[in-house]
Amino acid sequence: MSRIPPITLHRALHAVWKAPRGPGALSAVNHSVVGRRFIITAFVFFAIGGLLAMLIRAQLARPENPFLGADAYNQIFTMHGTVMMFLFAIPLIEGVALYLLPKILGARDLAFPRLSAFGYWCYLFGGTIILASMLMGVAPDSGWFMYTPLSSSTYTPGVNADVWLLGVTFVEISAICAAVEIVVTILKVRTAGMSLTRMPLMAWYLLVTAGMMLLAFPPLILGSVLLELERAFDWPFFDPERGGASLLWQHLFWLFGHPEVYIIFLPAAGAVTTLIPVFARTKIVGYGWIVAAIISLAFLSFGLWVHHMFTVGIPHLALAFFSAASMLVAVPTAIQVFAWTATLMRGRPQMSLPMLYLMGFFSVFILGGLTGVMLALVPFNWQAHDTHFVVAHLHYVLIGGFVFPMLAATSYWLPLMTGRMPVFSVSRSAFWLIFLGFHGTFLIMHFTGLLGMPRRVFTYEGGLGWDAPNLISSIGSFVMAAGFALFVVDIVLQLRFGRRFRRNPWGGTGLDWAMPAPAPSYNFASLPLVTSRDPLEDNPRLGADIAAGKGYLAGAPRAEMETLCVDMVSGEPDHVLLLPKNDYTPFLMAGGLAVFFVLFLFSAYAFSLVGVVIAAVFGWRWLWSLGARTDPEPLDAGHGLVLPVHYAARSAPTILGLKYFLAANAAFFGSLIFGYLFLWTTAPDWPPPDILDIDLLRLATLAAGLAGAGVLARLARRANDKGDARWRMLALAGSALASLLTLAGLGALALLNAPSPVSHAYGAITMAVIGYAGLHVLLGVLFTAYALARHLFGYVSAVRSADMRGAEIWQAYTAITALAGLALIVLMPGAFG
Amino acid sequence: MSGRERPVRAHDLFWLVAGFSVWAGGFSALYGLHAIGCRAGWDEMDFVSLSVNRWALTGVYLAHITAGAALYLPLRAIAGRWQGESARTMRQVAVALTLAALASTIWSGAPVLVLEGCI
Ligand code: HEM
Ligand SMILES: [Cu+2]
Repeated sequence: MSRIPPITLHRALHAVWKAPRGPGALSAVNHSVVGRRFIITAFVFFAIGGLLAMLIRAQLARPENPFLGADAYNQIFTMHGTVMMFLFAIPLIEGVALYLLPKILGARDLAFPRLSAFGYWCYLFGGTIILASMLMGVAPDSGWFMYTPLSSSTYTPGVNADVWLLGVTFVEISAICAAVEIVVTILKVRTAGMSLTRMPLMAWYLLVTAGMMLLAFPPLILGSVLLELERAFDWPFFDPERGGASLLWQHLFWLFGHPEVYIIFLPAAGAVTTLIPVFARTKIVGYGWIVAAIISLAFLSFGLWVHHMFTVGIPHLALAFFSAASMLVAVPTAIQVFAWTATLMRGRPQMSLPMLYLMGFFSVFILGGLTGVMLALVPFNWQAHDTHFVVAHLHYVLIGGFVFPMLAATSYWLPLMTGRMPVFSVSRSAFWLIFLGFHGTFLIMHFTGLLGMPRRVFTYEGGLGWDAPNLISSIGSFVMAAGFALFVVDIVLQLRFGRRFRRNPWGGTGLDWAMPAPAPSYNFASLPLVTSRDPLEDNPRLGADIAAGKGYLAGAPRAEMETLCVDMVSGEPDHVLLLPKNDYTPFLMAGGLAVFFVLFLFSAYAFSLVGVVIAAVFGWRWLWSLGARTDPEPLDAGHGLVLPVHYAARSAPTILGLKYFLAANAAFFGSLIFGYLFLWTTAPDWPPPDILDIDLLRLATLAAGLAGAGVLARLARRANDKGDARWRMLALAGSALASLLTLAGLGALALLNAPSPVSHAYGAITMAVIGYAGLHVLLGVLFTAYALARHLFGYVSAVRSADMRGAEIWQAYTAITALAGLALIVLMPGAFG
Repeated sequence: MSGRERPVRAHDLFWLVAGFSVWAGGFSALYGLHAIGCRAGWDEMDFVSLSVNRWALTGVYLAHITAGAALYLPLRAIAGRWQGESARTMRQVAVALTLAALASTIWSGAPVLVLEGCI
């Protein structure tokens, strides 16, 4: 390649990549900016959750404390749990992933920068709604898992529970977006030569975590939707008086809730796995074993949910399945611990700051594991159930297994953001305060629990032996809070006074340290060819080579934002991804959703649809901005590599993203089917007298419409592949028309044949299945209409086929799920009536 | 090896999830079938000295073990042909996962062999 001075390259790239300032910041989509926003916002919520914890501890410091009443206390501990789990832990993981992934994979940005920006706004708006409710004194107060019937309108008539259901659902939209983003980025957007098995293990951890998120969040979203339908429109899914079952909520919640523990734990474990070899000056032991272990852990964690429901009267045999699976998860966890220990033993560990936090992690986490084993013993569980012993255990696991590794990760990667090193004495004192304060708070809380103090009570009588341990816990928690405050002080000091460095202060071997610090807006001036798992060890001058433009796609000669997409497994480049410029669309689309959620919260149901329309308009505009109206020329990526542009490539990220989104959607549908079968088999008064009656002719017409729309969309795509524009248009129009007619048919079914959704849970869940199908058919109409419009405006060709393939996949998904749903609601009454 | 060596491709990632998908299918089928059987009263109907529920569950259990075990043979053949830089690690991971999943299927469904009933 030509010899361009690095500074020239830098200027050219920065001109294209730099983040907008001022009000334009609302349009920023770059992964460093969005990732940083996620991380900072998550830590702000951590501070808020911590503040609430301080209030809890202040209240419990002495017996019969008049400081908080029962009402306020309920809101505060519910908010503490909700904020920590949904607004701190998960978003922090997403932020770290979004910020780091391109840097460790050798890319300039994520696969869909606007999608993560959209996710960020959903998170911010949803979190704000939840917080605002607290300021107005109507915060959720039924505990962080919101059990029905406590959270049903009979017992929680106010808006409190709606805040939780709507706010958390809004935030979970961002989790689904982040998960799709993470999976597709890891599979496609890497640098040349980075095969799957050369990826840093952190990428594997995040890949598996994101896969779990795609499957674990939908049950929670479904549960929230159903409960909100019950609260808003009186559809009795959870009301035993009318054929509902409150246990359905527990199932849907823990179907999410248990995997959630691992969703939090796995990225933290990924950080541990990344940091240990760096500070032990060696390589990780057992790369392949770790990959196998985390994949098994991901699957197994979905087979445990019922262990949170051991006391609710589930048959022994069913319980036995879950106990057996619960024991299995110990194996992959142990494999990781072995790998870490073996790595430490093989190397020469150094006690740098991140390592200190890792030691904190080990000591705390092991104790948490021990108390977990104690809780798994059924007789002991009965003793300790719902006491402060459980609270202590929970925090050993969450703070030990998540907060300490994340603090280690923060102190390790923060210099990459700031370009400066931590101020040593301060950061060490912060660690010790947190560590000692933590044990001071929670170690003794085990005994408080064993002495019988229940959790979730706002006060207690003196003289039960609970006074002293509670006071110690409270003092400990204030020491810990001081430690966190010092941690923040340390960051400020680092920003102002930290020692500057140029590159790689810790001696890492991954691509994240092959860039100057603070990381430039474009990450890499050129994209390196990777030939092993430790590129920086193979070539210590790699950073300088990259900056000098010796890799692929050097600089920004076309004034475009470019990065490589590779073959999923081998890492061979297969096309160039052109990234979107800064754009207000994600912000505005999330704003539309915010309008919807807020109006819905205020029971303005009809008006709230305005928000949906706003969101849909911007969603359309977003899609419209993709692609181009002419077939693009291949691009010169340097070193003789000529590659197509992504919208002319077969394996473009967009279609892959759609598929993963549909995987999450299928998990949602599966949970709905589960709900139907669950109610049918376990709820009282089933089947009800009034069941769905539908004549065969109507049913056959609906089925034909669904199948026809699917087949026609497929024919349209095939015609397009052959370059046949006329058939492309006719088949597409046919598909749109078939969907439109099916929609009308489904509407008639809902209005004329289906039993009332309010008189019995049967009617409610049947209507939910019809509604699911109807919504997808409606979107099918929109997608085919969109593809038609794109056809008319010249965006579609045999080469630029993404719109056609998208419509085909959507219509096929709709046909399959809607047919399955119809079959279920038609056949079940027949088979079990 | 058979001379038909080829690199690991995207569709081979199937083997990383196949085994545990069988586990998950078996797990859900056992859990669901048990609930449905109890609802339909199969535990009260006897057939050759065992309840119909027990027969159905044992059948599903064995079917999933068979399916999990059956994955192993084609995997051996296919993974044996993988070559190139990723081949070794991918083979190790795929084989380990398939066998671990089989062991999990056997372990977590085993209660059907010893426990009975709908309470
Ligand atoms: C910063 C220090 C922390 C302190 C002092 C603290 C303290 C407490 C206390 C005393 C309770 C029990 C309230 C009761 O049952 O009456 C509680 C509950 C809880 N905490 Fe924390 N906590 C801290 C950090 C965290 C973190 C980091 C997480 C999660 C990542 C977390 C998650 C939870 C959850 C889920 C509950 C249960 C809430 C419920 O019962 O609905 N906490 N915390
Ligand atoms: Cu659990």
